[in-house]
Amino acid sequence: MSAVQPTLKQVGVSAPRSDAHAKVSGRAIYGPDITLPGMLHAKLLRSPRAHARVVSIDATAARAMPGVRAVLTRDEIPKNIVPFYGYFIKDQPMVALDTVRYIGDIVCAVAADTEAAAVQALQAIKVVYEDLPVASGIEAALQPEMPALFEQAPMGIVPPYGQGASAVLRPRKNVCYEFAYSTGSADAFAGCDHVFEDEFRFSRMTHYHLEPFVSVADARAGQIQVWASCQNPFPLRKEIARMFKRPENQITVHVPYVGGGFGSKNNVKTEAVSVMLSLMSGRPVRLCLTMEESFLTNTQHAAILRLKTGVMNDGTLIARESEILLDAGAYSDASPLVAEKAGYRVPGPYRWKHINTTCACVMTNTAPAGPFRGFGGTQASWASESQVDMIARRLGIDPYEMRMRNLLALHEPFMPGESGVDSDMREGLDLVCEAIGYHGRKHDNSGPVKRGMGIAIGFKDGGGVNKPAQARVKMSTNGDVFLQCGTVEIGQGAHTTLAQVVAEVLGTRVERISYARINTDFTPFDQGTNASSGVAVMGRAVMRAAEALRCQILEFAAREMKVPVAELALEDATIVYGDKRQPLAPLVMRHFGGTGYEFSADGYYKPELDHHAPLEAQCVFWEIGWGAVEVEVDTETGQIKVLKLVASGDTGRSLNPLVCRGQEDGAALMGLAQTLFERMVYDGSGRLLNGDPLTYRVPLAEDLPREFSTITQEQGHGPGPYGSKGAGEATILPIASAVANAVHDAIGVRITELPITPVKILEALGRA
Amino acid sequence: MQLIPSAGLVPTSARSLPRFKLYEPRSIAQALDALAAAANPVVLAGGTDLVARFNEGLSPGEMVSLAHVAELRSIAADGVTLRIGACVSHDAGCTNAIVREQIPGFSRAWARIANPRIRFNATLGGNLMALRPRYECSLLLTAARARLEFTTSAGTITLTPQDLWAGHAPARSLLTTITLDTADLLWYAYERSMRPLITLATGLRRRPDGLLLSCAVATEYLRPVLLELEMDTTDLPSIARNSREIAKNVFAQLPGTFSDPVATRAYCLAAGTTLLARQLAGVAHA
Amino acid sequence: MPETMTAVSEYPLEFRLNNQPVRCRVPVERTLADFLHDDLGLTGTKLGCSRGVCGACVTLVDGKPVASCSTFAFQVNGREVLSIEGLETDGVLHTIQQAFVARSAFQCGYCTAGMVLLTKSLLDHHPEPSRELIVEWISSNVCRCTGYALIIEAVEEAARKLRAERQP
Repeated sequence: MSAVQPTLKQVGVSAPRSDAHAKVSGRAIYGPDITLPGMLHAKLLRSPRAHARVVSIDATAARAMPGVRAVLTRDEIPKNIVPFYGYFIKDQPMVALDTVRYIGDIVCAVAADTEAAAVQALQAIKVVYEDLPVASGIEAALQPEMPALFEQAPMGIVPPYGQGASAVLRPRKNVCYEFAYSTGSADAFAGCDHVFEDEFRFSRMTHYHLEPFVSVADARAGQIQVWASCQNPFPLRKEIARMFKRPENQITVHVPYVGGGFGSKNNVKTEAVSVMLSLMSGRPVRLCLTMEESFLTNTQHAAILRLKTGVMNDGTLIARESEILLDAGAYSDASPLVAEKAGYRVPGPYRWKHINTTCACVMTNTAPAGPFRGFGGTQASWASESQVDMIARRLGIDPYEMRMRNLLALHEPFMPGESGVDSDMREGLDLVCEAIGYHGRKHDNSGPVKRGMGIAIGFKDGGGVNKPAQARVKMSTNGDVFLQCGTVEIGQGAHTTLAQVVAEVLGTRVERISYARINTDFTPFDQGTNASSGVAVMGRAVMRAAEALRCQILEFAAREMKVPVAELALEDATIVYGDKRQPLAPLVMRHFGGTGYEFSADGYYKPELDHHAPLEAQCVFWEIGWGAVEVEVDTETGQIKVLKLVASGDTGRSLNPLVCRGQEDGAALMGLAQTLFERMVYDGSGRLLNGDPLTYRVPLAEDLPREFSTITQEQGHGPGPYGSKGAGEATILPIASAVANAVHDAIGVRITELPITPVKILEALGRA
Repeated sequence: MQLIPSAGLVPTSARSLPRFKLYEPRSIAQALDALAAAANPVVLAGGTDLVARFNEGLSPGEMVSLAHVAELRSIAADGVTLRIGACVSHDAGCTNAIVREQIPGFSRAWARIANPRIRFNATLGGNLMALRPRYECSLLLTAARARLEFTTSAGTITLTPQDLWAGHAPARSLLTTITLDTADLLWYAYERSMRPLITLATGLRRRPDGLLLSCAVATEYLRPVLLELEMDTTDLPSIARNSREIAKNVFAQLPGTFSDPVATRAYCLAAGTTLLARQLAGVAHA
Repeated sequence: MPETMTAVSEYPLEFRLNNQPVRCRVPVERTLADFLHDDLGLTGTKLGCSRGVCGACVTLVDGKPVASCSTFAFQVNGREVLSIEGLETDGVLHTIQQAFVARSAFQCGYCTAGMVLLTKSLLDHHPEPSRELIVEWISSNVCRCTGYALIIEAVEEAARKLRAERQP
C-alpha cells in the first residue's frame, strides 16, 4: 500500500451525487426531452434484407403526403457532402447508396410534422431490393465462396503503433482491419513441456441502454446545432464538420444527461441524418430511435478466439499464440479499435516470454459491432482465464497456484515498453478467494446436483489511447465554483467525482461546485467518455485546473494582503493566513470594483507519446477485475445456479465509494447475464430473432445470485487524483470465465462457448 | 418493427398511430355490436400487449374497450366448474377467494407469472389472445384443460387453448369466459424455475378408473404442447415413487418438431422428463 | 334497452394528477406517457422500451404501477394518477426519493422515476416487505446500470424510515 494520504475531506466520501436531486425528482433532462419550436420528427426506413443491392427507391408518394417536409434518399445527398462516417474506416453511409448490408440498415429517412406522418410516409416508399449472398457470421464471411462485401476499399487509416504492434487494412477478403502484436521469439514454444490449443467462442450482446439513441439537429441560419445523446461530443463535431464540410466553429454539440451508453453512444449514430434533414427542411429535426432500432444500431463483438499456449510442467506460462476473429458486423464502426485491445489484452495479467497475436475484424451482414463495456477485454478474458484454468487442471495444478505463479508483480511492465501494472494482483486474488472460501472448499457432489467454485482475473488497460483531456475551473466572487469539462454523465457518476476533486483542492464543499452543461463552444476539448478514463485522465486535467485556480486565487490574495503566498491556504472561499481568516469576496470587490471578478484556470492531461510503448503511449492505468463464483449445477436439467458471486476491482482510491460500488455491481451483473443467458440470437440468414424488449432478456433483480457482493479495493497505486483509477469496466471482465471454471470444478466439463446454458451442460454431459 | 415487403422495416409505435375511434360498450352484446360495426377493430382489455402490436405495425380503425363490461370481470363457481371472466386481471384472479379455494394449485401458479406490475394490469384473456409463447397463461390453462368461450353474435363457441393457437377463434368474436373443471382436479403444479428456456405445468384429474395426467410444456419460442397420460391408479404415493417412469412415458409423446433455436428437442426431452418427475415426486405431499 | 353507442375520437378526460384536477380533451390514441410527457410537459416520465417491459415509464394509477407507455390517457378517466413530479411536497423530496439519493441507488437515472414510483406502490401495499418481496416487485422494472443491489438497499432504507415516520 502507498503512503497514507493527508486527511481528505471531500474525496473518499460517498457524497450525495450532484445529479441525485435531478434524477430522483424527474427534473433531469435527457435527449428525448428536448424540444425546439417548429421541430420536425424523423423516422428511418430500414432494410428488410441482410445483404442486397438497392435497385430502386421511389419516394414520390411519400413526398406528396401531408406534413412531410423532407425525404432523404441516396438521390438527395448533395454532391459536396461526404456521406460516410466511421472511426478508422469511413465505410458507413448516412443512408444506403447502392447496397444494404444488414437487416436494419438505414435505407432512407423522412422528416414530418408528426411521427405518424413520418411513419405513413415511410410506408409509402417503394424500394426494390436484389438479394446478394449473406455472410451470417464469421465463418460464413471467411468462406472462399463468399464474395467480398466491400469491393471498393473505403477510406481508412492505420494509426502509428509502437514496439511490437502493427496493423493492416484489408489484409484479406472480408477482413477490414487486422491488428497484430508480438514480442519474444516463437522458438520459445520449442522449450515448452506442453503446448495446448483451445478455441473459445464469445457471444454478442447489445447495450440495452434505456434511453434511446436520439438527436435534435437545428441547421438553420448557417450554423449547425445538435443536441445529442452522445459520449464523445468533440469527435462527433469533427465528424459533422467533415461530412457536411463546415468549420468546426459553426457546429455546436450539446449533451444533456445521457441515459446509459456502455460504449454505444459514440461518434455518429442519428446525427448525420438529423442534420441532413434539418438542412433539407430548414427546420429543427428530432430523430429518436425505438429500442428495437437500438438493437440494430450497435452491438458488442462476438468472437472466435484460438489460443495456443506453451507451458512448463510446473505451470510456468511461456508462450502464447492467439488468433482472434471479431464479428464486426456490417460496418467497421469501432472494430479496429476493439481489435487493437482484444489483441493486446489476450495475454492477460501474466508474464510471458513470447506473445504472438493477430486480431481480425471480420465483416458480416449483421448489425455493426462497436464499443461495448470491456472493449475486447471481455472477449480476451473469457478465453485467457478459461484456458489458464483448463491448463492448470490438465497439469494437475490448483488453478489458484497456477495464477499466483505467473501473475505480473506490482509495477511490472505488462509488455516490453509498457507501463507497469498498478495493482498487486495477488492481493486481489487472495481477497476474492478468501471472500468465497475457495481454498479448502468441500462439496458433497454425490447427488445429481453438484457444486463447484471458480476464480478468474479479468484484465485490461484503462484510460484509452490518444485521449487529450482539458478542463477549466472558475470561481466567482462569492466563491461559487464552475467545473467545465467534456466528460459526459452517462451514469458513472463522473460529474460528482470530478467535482469532489475540485472541492478537495479548493478546500470547499462539493455542493459549491456546479458542473457546466456540455456545449462544445464553451466546454474545453476532450476526446470522449470511454475507456474508464473519467478519473485517471480527465480527473488529472481537472485536478491541474483546480490547482492552477487555487494558485491564482492565493497569488491574488497574497498581493492584496501583502503577505507571502506560501503562508496562505484556501478554505471555502476564505483565505487562511495563520489564525486569520480573510473572506475572498471583499478582497475581490476592493480590487475589481462592484461587479467583482471570476478566477479561471485550465488544466490539461495526456500521456506522452512513446514509440517504445506498443500502443504509442504507455497505458494510463490497468483495470483489473477479480471474480470468484460458487455454482450449483443440476446434472439432470443442466440448470446452473450461481450461489455466490464475489467481484472486485481496484479503484486505487475511491473518490466516491458508493459510486464505485455501483459501477462494480452493475458491471458484474452485466457480465453474469452474458455468461448465463443474455445474447443476440441471429439465425443463419442474418435475421435477429430476439431483437425486441420482450424476447431480448436482460437481467432483472431476481437474477442476482443469492449472495452477491462486490468489494472495492483501494490499493492506492492509481495515477489519477489521490491515487485513483477507473472502475467502470473491471468487474464485467472475469465473470464468464469464473463461472466456466466453477462449472468445470463442479461437474468436470468445460464449456468454451457463451452463454453457459443448461442445454450446453446436458450436451457436454452426453445427456441431450 | 413493421415489415412492409415493398419498402422495408418501419418503426411503427403507439406514437405514430393514425387516428382511431373508441367504443366503450357496457355489455357483451354492445361489445359485439361494436366489433361488427367497426371496419378494423382491436379489443382493449388490460392493454399491456397492445403497445407491442402497435410496434409490430397494428393500426386499428377502432378500439373496443372492455373496461365497462362488468360481466367480463366476474368469477363464479358451482363446485363443478369455475368460470373466470376474460377481463379478470391476474392479481384479481389469483387472490380471489373462490379461485383459491376451488383450484389452489392453479391459483398459486397464477400468482407467480410475469411480475407484480403486469399482474395488476394484464388480464387472463389478454394474455391468451396475445398468442405469445413467452406469456404464461396458455401453458397454465392447457395443463388445466381449460375451455375458452368465445361469444359471437350467433352464439357461443368453445375452444381449447390449442385451437386458439391454430387460429380458430372466430372473427369479430369476444373471448368472454375461461372455464375450468374443478371437482376432479386433484393436484396442479407449475415449474418455472428454468423460464424462459423451458416451463411446464401439470394437472392430475380423477377419472372413473384412475387418474389423467395433463402436462403442458413450452419454451420461449414454442407454444405449449399438451402431453397426457391415463393412469389406472389413484395412489399418489405410488405415483411419487414411480415418478421417473411416468414422466418418461409422458415425454415419449413430445412431438418430433418440438425444438427451437436455443432448446433442442433432445434437451427438452431430457430436462422436461426430469422436471416432471420431480413435480410428481412431490405429489403425495399436496 | 340497447343504448346507441357511438365511437369517439376525442375523449373528455377528467382525472386527478398529482393531487390536482385535470380536465381536457385527448385524442383516443394518446398514451398516458405521451400525454404526461408531451402534452403536459412533465418530462420526468421516460420512454425506454415502449413495450411495457422495462418499466421506465411507470406511473401510479389509483396507487398501482402501470406502464404509462402501454396505457391510454383515457383509461385514467376518474382515477388518481401520480407521476414522479407529484411525489415531492413543496420542493422537499419524498422519503423514498431521499433513500435513493442516500444509497446512490441510480446511475444514469433513466429508470429512476419508474423505480421510485414502483417503490412507493410497493411500500403502500406492503409497509414491511421482506427482501424476497422487494426483489419480486423490483423485477417489474429494468435497470441496466446499478445491478439492483443498491436499489434494494434504498427500498429497505425507505421502508425503515417510513415506518419510523409513522410511529408517534
